[in-house]
Amino acid sequence: MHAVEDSEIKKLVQKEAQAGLDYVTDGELRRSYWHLDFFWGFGGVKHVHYGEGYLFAHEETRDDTAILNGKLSFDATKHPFINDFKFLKETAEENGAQAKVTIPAPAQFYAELVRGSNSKTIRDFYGTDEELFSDIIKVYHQAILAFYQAGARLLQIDDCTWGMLVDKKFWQTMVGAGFDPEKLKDIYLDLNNGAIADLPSDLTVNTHICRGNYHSDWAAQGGYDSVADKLFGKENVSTYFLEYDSERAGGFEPLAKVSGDKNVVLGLITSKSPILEDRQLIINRIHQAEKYLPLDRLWLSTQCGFASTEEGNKLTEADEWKKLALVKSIIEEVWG
Amino acid sequence: MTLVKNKIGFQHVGSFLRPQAIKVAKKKFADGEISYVICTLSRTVK
Repeated sequence: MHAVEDSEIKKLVQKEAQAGLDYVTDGELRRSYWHLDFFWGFGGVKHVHYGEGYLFAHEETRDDTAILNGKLSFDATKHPFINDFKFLKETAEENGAQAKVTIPAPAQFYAELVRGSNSKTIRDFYGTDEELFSDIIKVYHQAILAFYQAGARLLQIDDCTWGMLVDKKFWQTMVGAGFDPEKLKDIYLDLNNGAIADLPSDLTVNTHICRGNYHSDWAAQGGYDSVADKLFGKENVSTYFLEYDSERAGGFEPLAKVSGDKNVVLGLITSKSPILEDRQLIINRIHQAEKYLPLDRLWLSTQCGFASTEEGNKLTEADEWKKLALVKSIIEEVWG
Repeated sequence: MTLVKNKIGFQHVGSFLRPQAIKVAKKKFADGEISYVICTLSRTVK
């Protein structure tokens, strides 16, 4: 099966390069989920079935999850993502492009480990939450360095935790489960910043914030306002890839909180539908966002991937390329 | 605006739809009809 994946990734990377992408991914074609497969590659993590999937607005996902069955560890020779990245890098270079690696955020890992009954096994291996946080940061840092040593220079941490925190319904659920959402913000921030601290200066680390992307369905709604101070002000990434493809993402005002010289990629083109956006409406929205962040710190993409899980969104492969062509065309018009 | 293009570049968020060949292979793997042999750049691991 791996050989089939290799072959399809080669074809995909060729198409990406032909579409003009400067950075190419392996499409996450080997993964079942955008996040769980990466977690399962760590030592001390067990793949189990939760008994219930993630509850999206209209659908429930499969019920796979990750729990601790030991102290966390990372081994670059055992985690499949490292060798898979080497293959991507070689393939990208054959096509004159650079390889981009995407992994779930450290905060996302923590969120999975404390998801409902998953948390029961934590105390079997960690006496305090602080010890767990320390090991999450450690194994992630080791993994990121392994990607770097394999040649990665652009890494994106995908993060639904902030995307869930903006939703009042999720907030209430977490309070009901005994969590303090305000403290969660600090935990998420410290985990993410801890993992990406002290990395080589020529490694760019970006993040993508998501409210769920499963079979064209979504899981959360709410603007960035309530998380902007910490997420935009204090997370030490270079660029934020933000969902802005629906009213669920709120307004552009929180972009004023993006600190330093960090950038924002506006996810104004939806990957959830095959319908092509009106280009002038997208350009108008870019200029609306410009009121809060200068145009030279803005950019454009789809709001998420086309298939965060193997089920994929409700559109065709041809639709994917039309969407990306629209992104490229608008980029050239606005920033060209 | 060349500066911003250079610093971010044209890039997709990440995932693409799984091609039919992968869906078929995954089904065959689940049914035990094929194995998952990893042919890396320099070695083969089972």
